[in-house]
Amino acid sequence: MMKVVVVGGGVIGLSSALCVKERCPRADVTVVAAEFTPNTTGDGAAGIWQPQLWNVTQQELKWLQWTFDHLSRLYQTEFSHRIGLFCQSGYNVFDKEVPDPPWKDIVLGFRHLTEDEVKKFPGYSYGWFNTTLMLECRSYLPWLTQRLKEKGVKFEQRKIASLSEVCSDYDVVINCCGLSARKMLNDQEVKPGRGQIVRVHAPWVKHFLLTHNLDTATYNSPYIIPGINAVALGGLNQVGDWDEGWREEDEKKIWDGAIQMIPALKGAQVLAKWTGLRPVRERIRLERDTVKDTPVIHNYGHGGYGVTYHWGCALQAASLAAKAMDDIAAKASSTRVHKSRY
Amino acid sequence: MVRRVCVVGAGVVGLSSAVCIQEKVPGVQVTVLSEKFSPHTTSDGAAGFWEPHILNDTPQELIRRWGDETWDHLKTLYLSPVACDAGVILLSGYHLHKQPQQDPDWASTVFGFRHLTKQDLQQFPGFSSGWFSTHLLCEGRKYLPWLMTKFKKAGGKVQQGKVTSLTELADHYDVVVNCCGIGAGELVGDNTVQPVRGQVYRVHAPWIKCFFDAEYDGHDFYIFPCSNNVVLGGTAQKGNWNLSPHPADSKAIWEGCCQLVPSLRKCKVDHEWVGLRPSRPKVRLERESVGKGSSSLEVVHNYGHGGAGITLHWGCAQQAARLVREALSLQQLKPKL
Repeated sequence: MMKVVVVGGGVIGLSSALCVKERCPRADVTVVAAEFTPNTTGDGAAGIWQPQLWNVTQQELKWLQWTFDHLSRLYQTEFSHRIGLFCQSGYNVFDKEVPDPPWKDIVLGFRHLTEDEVKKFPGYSYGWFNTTLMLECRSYLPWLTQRLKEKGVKFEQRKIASLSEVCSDYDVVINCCGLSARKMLNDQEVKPGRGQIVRVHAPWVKHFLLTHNLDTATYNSPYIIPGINAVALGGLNQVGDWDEGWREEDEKKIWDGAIQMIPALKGAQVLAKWTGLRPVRERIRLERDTVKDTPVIHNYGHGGYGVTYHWGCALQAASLAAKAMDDIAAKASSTRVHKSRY
Repeated sequence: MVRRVCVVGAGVVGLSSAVCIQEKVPGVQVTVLSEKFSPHTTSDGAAGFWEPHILNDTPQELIRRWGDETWDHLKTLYLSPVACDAGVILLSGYHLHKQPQQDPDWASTVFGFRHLTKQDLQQFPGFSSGWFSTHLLCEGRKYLPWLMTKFKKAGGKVQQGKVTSLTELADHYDVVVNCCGIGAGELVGDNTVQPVRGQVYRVHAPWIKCFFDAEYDGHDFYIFPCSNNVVLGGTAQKGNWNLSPHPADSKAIWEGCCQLVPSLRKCKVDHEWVGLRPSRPKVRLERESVGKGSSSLEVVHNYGHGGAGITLHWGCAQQAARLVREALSLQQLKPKL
């Protein structure tokens, strides 16, 4: 029986664990993480399904489609809202004409804004409207956890300083460590993309609104994203900033940006404040590696798009893990060596 | 000399008329006189969705004019700091049909009107065509109190009471604006005003962020998310005055809506409500001189808006204000003896 460990308990880790267990039901799977829901990065995120605007590889497009399809199937059920899944339409606005995003046929009803509509957004002259899915990890992760436990997946809360700590105990490692990859693997490409979110009571807002200032990084411009029970106001993506504390001057920026877009948000009751560090990387790292003779499937660096990519990447990680397990089995039978861990 | 104007009725048509008169007619003291006030008016229970509806033979050109003026007014409110207080919401969603229908007249007024694609329709088995559009919704429950505050701040007076005949107001007022809605039969003997009974659920389903409106086989099932709850409807029973929820209607509405959106099956019901849309062959918005001699009275009628009270209210209120101005100038020429 193969022993698999998934490092990381966020949306990437739990979905990878589920995909591996569904693909290889006889594998013994354990999730090891320093943090679990409600303390993962995904738990604080708004949870909108929307990738990076452009610069999407063919492979990434596949993962995106798989994720959207998976969520669409779940959306048609009676319990969709209980796992934090719902549908929402909204706006992406720009101050100049831009090319269409490569994912425009994945979301629903993508179109350009009419002149009449653009007038609703002073300071912006162009934009898109589409319908997408929303996934709130605070509800989704507990549901994934429940499904994993039902399938016999074990959980261990532990902080790992290096992958070599787990390599000797497991046949395959799936590394979904997010931002920790910087320290754990010394991956210099991984950087924190610091964000702050103010959650307010404004149930009369029924659309998402993402403004874009193309001179700065994505998500570094005001956004308003309604969730099921609160509206997330944000608009910061401070790359390289590790500060997980709350900064008042950033809060002011967020409020000013939100009120400029929807004046009636002024005075809305604050329900929660959160600082999160997106695990930013130029490209998602999803590939097989070897550490201390043990196959490691890396699945990290999803930046602000963890929810958006999670299922497609988990399927890919499971596929790589299954191949690694086949390789181990093939090697074992060809050399007829019985290792103690079988 | 201050001219006294009485607005009879405190639904959306009455209150908006009162506010427009204050804004547009100089030198008047306005009183709103009504049996019912928010939250007990028809406007309070309605979802408040902007869409011309159940207007029978009202001329299309008037529907367009009043509707577009109201749309512009709601749009201005939406973009302003008072959107939340005034109950104005921007809402997108789906109109679903089982057979292709001609594009509606209001298609060019709302935002982003388009036909549903095959991909859209995959979500709605059984429906073969439809539209997607972004509308404004104005919740009576918030809008009426907001209008009332505005009205009082500008010096308006309020009186609770039932009016049995307009002429009884002749001694105290120079012009009466009749916004009595469904009460027109009793008040002015207009039996062309008939109820079109609407029954709804208000449920707790905050994950619903868009509307659904499915019309087929004589049914109209709809789902409109408002600020604090979601309206599930509906019925449109002509001539039915029954104000109590009817179990057969409840069941039909529940099934119809849950089929559209399965996640509604598990939601919590807050309450049920019945409203009587004040339907008339045409909206009555005109002046009339009533009574004779010392009990003569200038009346501006503004009633019979069917299922489009909120949709037309501001355009009609502006027109009513113009008619009040006309009536007052006429009176100056023919003073009461």
